[in-house]
Amino acid sequence: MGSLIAEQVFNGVMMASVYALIATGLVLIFGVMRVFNFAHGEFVMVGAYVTTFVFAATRNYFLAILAAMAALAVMGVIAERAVFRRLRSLHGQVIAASGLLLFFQNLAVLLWGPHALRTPVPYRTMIVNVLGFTVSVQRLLVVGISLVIMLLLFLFLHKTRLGTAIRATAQSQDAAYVVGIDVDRVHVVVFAISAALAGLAGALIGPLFLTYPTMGSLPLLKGLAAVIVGGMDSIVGAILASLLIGITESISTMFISSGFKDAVAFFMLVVVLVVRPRGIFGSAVRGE
Amino acid sequence: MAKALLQVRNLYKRFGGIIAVNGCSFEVLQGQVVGLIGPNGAGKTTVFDIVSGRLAADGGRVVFRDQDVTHLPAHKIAALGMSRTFQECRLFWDLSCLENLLLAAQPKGLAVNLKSILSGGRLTSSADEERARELLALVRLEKFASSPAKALSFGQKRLLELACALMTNPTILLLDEPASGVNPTILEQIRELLSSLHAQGLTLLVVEHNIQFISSLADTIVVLHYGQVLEVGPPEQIRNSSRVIEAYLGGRYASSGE
Amino acid sequence: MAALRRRWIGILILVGALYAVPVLVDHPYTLHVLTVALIYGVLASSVNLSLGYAGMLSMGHMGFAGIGAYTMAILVQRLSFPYWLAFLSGVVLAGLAGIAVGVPSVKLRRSSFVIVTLAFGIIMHLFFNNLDDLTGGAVGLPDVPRPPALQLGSWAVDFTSNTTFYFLVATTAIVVVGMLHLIARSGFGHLLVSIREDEELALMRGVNVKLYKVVCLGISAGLAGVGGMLLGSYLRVVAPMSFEFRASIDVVLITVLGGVGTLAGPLLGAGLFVALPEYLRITNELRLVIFGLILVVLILYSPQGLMKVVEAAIGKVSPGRAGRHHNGDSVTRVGYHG
Repeated sequence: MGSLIAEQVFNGVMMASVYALIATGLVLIFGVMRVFNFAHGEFVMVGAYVTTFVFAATRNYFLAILAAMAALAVMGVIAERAVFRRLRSLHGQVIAASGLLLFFQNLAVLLWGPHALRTPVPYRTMIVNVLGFTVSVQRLLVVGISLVIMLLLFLFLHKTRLGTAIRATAQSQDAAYVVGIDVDRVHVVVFAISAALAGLAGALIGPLFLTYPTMGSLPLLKGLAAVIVGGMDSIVGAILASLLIGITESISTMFISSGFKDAVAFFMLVVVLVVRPRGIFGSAVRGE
Repeated sequence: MAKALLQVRNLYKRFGGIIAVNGCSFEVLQGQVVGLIGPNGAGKTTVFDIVSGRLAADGGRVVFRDQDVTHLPAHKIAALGMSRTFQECRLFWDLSCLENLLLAAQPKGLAVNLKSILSGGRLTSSADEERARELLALVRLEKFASSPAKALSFGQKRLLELACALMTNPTILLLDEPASGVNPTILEQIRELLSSLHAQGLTLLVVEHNIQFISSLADTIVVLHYGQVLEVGPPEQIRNSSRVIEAYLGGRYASSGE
Repeated sequence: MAALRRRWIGILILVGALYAVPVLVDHPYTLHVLTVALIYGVLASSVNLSLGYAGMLSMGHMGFAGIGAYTMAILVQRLSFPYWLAFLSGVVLAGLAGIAVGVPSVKLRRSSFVIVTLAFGIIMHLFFNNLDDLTGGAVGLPDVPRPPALQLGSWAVDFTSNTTFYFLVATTAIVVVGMLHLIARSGFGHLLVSIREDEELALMRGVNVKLYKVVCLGISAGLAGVGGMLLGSYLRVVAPMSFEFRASIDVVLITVLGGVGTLAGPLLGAGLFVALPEYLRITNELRLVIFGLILVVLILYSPQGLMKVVEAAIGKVSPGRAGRHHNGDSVTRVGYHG
């Protein structure tokens, strides 16, 4: 029993890492630009596909991951410039993003077919003994790489000039203009980072759960749940909420049918929104 | 002896570390024009927001028409006969001027509005429409009846907002800086309008920075400073009060007025 | 006044065309496509009410449709309810669900509201998919009946015929649009628009914003229930697939495409989204790629949807202006603008 729980907890932590990557991306763009990117899941999907193809070509997983992040960074820049820059209202963003969602999902089907692709990364089948538990290396990689990237992100935001500019813009866009920060550039960079994080998430889960056109929807929604539960402008909140959701979800499979596992995140989301709309760590609700 | 229409007792409101209103008490008698002045940050608009129900007070009471309305939601306070304008001037920008007025006058109850779905019309009668046009004429905006509110100049917007506040035949009118940002012509129009409303017996509570403007209208002036009432009295007393002048950081007001 | 008469003539022509289709075109496939299009028009109209008139974007609206559909199917199949009683129950239950969702959520800021409705849609879909005993699970509930035959004098109107069912759907669509028109013109509709334009200002002017929004969502949900039940009856099966997240997006897409806040917009959008690709023999995926792109372009350049483009072309009020009307009623003219 104990090892079963431990296994579920570890799975939960692993999923939480993925959710955290996605949620952080969402928090970044919401916190800095008040943009709500509903199509974020498609970034995850594209990341997974890029990883699959680059891996197939080079047989190097880490190269594939980097390629995915780079490709998504570019996509993020294009998305920000072409679409989100002009859309101030929430409804406009949600609807435009929905359009992008449909566009990308179905383009993927047209280009690569509706069937799932496998990414036979060798780490999937490698197992390691950790503290008496056998664990697939791929799953360890997911947690490990996520940790490293989040750490790098933290260092970037707090120790570099650009990172500080980003945090400043998140606090007050007008003040940022006044002190001479190139706000447009900040927006583009933030979107690129957000997209790259999503791409990384896709690169990590593709090998684990197969790569297919609609794979982005559920991760997006889980990430969204984490953002809401944690607080829409708090990265720390998003990470902690991801852990909460991931672990609870995982453990819940021991008690309820797995079909309902996904409902856990959404129930939490609804409860938080009704009881404490700002999220656990969010700052007070601002006007729209 | 005129009775108190509005009583504000020991109002207290804080925003995080900032105490915006710190034990503020004053009253407005029926038929009076009361001016509410004070330096920036004194808490004037916050008091307005609390009285009209836009913000919740952290302490104190608001009594309107002998009813404790402190925790009443804003729409119910409006239904009791309180009407207000906003510092930044708020209107339904994409709707026509006439429409703005009709919306203000329209009955707001749910049942009667749902019934109107079946009876196929809106609830504003032709009398309402006539009144709306009269008010538009009063503020000299008849030409703009069908134009969207956003097409007006700022001064005209202020006048329209005033007209909207009047459409409901309010018992008390709260005006938040009705004369700020307008040119002298419109300023005069507003002054005349408020004067005549006062003469007709309407009770007014007016926040203003323009001391000269408010002095010419008000019966009593309440001076707010750091969220508390510094002094209350007729305009001449306030203009010559050293405490008030000090609070405003400058002796300019004593001599010629703004 | 001439514009008003032109409008009525246009409406009559369209209605006439709608009814004339089965008579003029003897192609079962065309009928099928149009039936589905009209049903989606009804669904989109329900989204239109909540989004276009009250400014509430619901991204889980098919959840309400599903509640209506499943309620009707279960009542008819398990409890032997007469069809129309079950239908009514479906509307009521869907409406109540709308109110239940609305009460805790209309006070939230817009982004949170969108997410709550999204979560609602997903949770409902999960229920539909997993409560096997009640809902038949992923397979759903087959053998959903058509409405029972009507006796009109010596005439029996038999709804098992797709042609007759088409007339039913067309009539429902017209009734729904008519209802929305009445709502838009009414005091209720005008106050909803004021809420959409500036919620806080409406509140300060005496509107009980929360109440109106909840009621609006309830009516909108009930209408979605009607659409869901029509879909179930037509397809003769109620399955989770019809009510998933993607379907909710489709319905919003249709509404925006056609024109939010307009009356004919949802029907126009449904016609374009459902019917047109069938004629052009476009695969489902290609259709969605194109429409996804169109949606993005529309939002960027003409957020009021295609209806405004059409209206401008016919020489009516141009987008965004209040226009001149003898009764100053610019509310129904000013469209939703994001």
